Amino acid sequence: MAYRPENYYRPTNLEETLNLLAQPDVYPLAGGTQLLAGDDKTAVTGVVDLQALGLNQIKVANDILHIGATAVLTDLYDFLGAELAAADFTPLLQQAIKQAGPNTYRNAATLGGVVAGRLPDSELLAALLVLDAQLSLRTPDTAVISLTDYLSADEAPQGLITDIFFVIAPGAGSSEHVARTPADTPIVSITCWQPSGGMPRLAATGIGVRPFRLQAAEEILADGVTDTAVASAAQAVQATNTHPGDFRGSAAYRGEMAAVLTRRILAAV
Amino acid sequence: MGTAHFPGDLTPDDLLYGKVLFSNQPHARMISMDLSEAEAVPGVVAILTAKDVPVNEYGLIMPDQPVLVGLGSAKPYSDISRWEGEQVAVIVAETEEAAALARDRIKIEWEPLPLVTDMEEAMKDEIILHPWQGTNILMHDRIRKGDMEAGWAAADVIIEGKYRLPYQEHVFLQPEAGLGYIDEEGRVTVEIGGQWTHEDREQVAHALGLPEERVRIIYPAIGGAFGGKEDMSLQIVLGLAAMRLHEMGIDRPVRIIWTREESIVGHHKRHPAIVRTKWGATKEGKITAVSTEGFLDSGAYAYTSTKVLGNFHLMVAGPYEIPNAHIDSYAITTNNPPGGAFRGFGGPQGAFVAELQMNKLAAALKMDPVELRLKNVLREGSLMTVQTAVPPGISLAEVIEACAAAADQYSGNSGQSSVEAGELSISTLPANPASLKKGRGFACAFKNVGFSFGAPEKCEATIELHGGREIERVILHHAAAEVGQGSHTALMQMAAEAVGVDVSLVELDMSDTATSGNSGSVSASRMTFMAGNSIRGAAEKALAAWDDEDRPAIGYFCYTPPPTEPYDPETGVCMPNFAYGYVAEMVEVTVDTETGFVHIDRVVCADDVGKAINPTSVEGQIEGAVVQAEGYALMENLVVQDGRIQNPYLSQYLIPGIMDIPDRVDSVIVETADPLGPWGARGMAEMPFLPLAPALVTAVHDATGIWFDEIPLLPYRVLAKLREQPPQ
Repeated sequence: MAYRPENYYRPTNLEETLNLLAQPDVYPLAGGTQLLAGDDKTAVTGVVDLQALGLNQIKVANDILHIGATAVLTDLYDFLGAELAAADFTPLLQQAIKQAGPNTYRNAATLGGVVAGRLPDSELLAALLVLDAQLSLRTPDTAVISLTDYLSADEAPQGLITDIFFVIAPGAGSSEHVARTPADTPIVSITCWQPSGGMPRLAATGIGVRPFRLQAAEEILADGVTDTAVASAAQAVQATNTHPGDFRGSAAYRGEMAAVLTRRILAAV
Repeated sequence: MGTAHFPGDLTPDDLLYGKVLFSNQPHARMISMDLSEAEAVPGVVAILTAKDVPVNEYGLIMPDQPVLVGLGSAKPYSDISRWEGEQVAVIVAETEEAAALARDRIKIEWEPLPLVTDMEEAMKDEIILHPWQGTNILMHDRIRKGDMEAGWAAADVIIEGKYRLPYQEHVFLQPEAGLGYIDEEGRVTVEIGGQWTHEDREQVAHALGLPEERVRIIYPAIGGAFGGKEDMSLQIVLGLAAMRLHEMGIDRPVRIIWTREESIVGHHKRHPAIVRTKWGATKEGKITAVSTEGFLDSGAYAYTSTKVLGNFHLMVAGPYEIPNAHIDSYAITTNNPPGGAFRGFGGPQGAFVAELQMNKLAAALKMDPVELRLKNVLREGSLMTVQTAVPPGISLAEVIEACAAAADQYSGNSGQSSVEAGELSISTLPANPASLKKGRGFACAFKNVGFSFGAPEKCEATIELHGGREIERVILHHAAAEVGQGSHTALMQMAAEAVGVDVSLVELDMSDTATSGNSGSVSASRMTFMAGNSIRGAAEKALAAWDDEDRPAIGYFCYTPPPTEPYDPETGVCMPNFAYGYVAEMVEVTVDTETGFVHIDRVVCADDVGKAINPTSVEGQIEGAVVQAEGYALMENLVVQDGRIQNPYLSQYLIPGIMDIPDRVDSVIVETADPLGPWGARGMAEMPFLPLAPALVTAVHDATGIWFDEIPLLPYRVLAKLREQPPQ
């Protein structure tokens, strides 16, 4: 059901944007994939279109990849293919982008929207988590917060996301998921990134309210990826499951799949 | 982009837009309705409610449902909503947005009434949903044959089972849509996708209090049906809107298009079922007795539940000669979404039970399931459980043998499936190879062709022959609906064959009650059979007129098949059907025992179609039915809680997509002529659906050693049972 906002704004600078967003029941509009597709039970007096702010830039500076909040997923995918094809993380991120939705969705959805929406089943967020992504938030002061903290907070931290960035480093990554059908939202996914010379970082979807880092499992693996450690890590991942279960999969199934996928992904590592 | 116009494409000049307000109340009485804010929305032309419906009732087999639930109607009890999809108001406006806004501004006060959503509770009759019926048991069919005590005494093996079958949503490509207007002859006209123009006309005329000749139904191209468009959806409210607007001096067409969510909430489903059964057999593999109690949740209104129950009742004992049978089948009224027609029409639920019982018997007897079936299948002269003989032309033994032979011709189990090949045809791949188990299952079924149990059955056709010395044009007037199954192509082919001309000379004038006779519905796998016979008769008469030098030469014929009979209320004795089709299937699967996913590697489906009028269409029907049945067996999971559908979106209610379908489907077309069929043809569109689920479940058993008595085999259900009983 479409929203029926009474006011539409398209500011050209951040100050004006933040002032507008300070009004009650006024929401930012980027790709519109969440706002326009949502139910119409939430009161919306106005929307602030972010497209004139120039926040859609994607660039590499000092070995850091900066992704503007209103960069659409297709542009990010193409940028990675054109400018960072040789980077070790590129296949992981590109796969996660493709998994985010069909091309009609990827052409509209922005990375900032995905982050701000804290989408519960997003493998893209899981990939950014294991890459240790950071966010720039304007409130109007600029603050930097880790994606891990942004997603783990009960309420989304205040502020407009302007930039998502992470350090480009060598390593190897992959993602495993179970879904009712290959193109469907995953029931459970586990994403892994192992920096060169470092220990695996793991993130999950489908076993909590939002994607999160599997810190207990990472700690178990810190001393080495042995068979015993893998078994313990898988057990720890299963134990972290707090998802109540839904039509995609029961709570017990989610927990067990998280363990299965952890074993599979670590076997690949 | 094609040239066919579907109902939602119809955009005449001066169009008005309609929206339907659902009650969203599984069980509640309307206390008040306030339209003032809705009527104040700019652009609103009219809001129609229960008081505006002249005869506020409808129903395909009994008029038990109000057209619009609400106040001010002469129909008793029409102020009560009995399921969430009840229609309450029709809003007509200058724009779709205005209609939607006005719909949102209608204020209704409801008094909640106690919910009855469990069949067992409903059967206690403590709360009766239709007071005039006096009970929530809509129908109880019985079969009493032979001596049950003797049957059990003769059995060396007895298998008991309790099975649960789920809802299934039709998910036709185009949700309900249509156009209502007054035609040039002043008729209330509805252009819509349906399955039976003349039944639609009867229902619309009845509700509007008009003679049938004052109502016209036209079917444009129809985006799928599968039984889901056999009952009314928008037909009556579009006719009502056209009529009331005309009375207001507004002669403008009104169009309504349902969203997918509205479609899923607003029409009936395949009946969920619970079945308890017990089968006995000798050690030689002869069935000695079958007793069964089956319960179908018919939801809030009858729709076609009594007829679906009849089919279930016959098919729950399978296509076998059973000397002793005691079967009770019930259709139960609840506050759930109505059950109704869906490809197979009670057959899938029946076949699931019968075929799993047979495969469990085969396992207990350590007998090849094909051999066990051949010892028991109905043959010429066999008496069914209803104690009458199967009509001549029975070929199930040949069909079983053809399927078994084709299944063994290529051993899928020794070949490489896409799972092993590492293709992404199963959601969890690449899987742990050690977790993959493979299995094979077999099942068969029979399916009636045509209306059953004494329902009036006929089909009309008119053929015009134009030309001078030679026939230059053949015009076929027929009401048969083309719902995507290829019926119009088959009808053209049969008309050409009957007249003896090239098919390029045949023109169709289809599916308009103003120009076509009554064809009956496209359902019950009947249209090729019935229309073919009507066309043959009409062609014969037209050719006789042609020989008499009539120009154009016109032939009309109404085909009437042999009569059928309803069940005897005490014993079930009857002649239920005049023709059948026969089917057998073999399914090979791979089960990922780590994740619970089941992948279909291969299906062999053998169908006796009598005569394949269009073999390509026949193969299309087989493949389509197999995939639709795959959804039923593996993934389609409609969640209904407290009478409300919890997942009315296709993102939540999954059907098989291109990445889910079997790696391979081998269609084996058997052609044993039906003595009554046109050129020997039988109906076939439902048959391939029936055996797939039991064959698949048996294949999973073959792979894992575990029987599943409930579908769909959702991964989490499979895994939970694998954890209880680890595979050998």
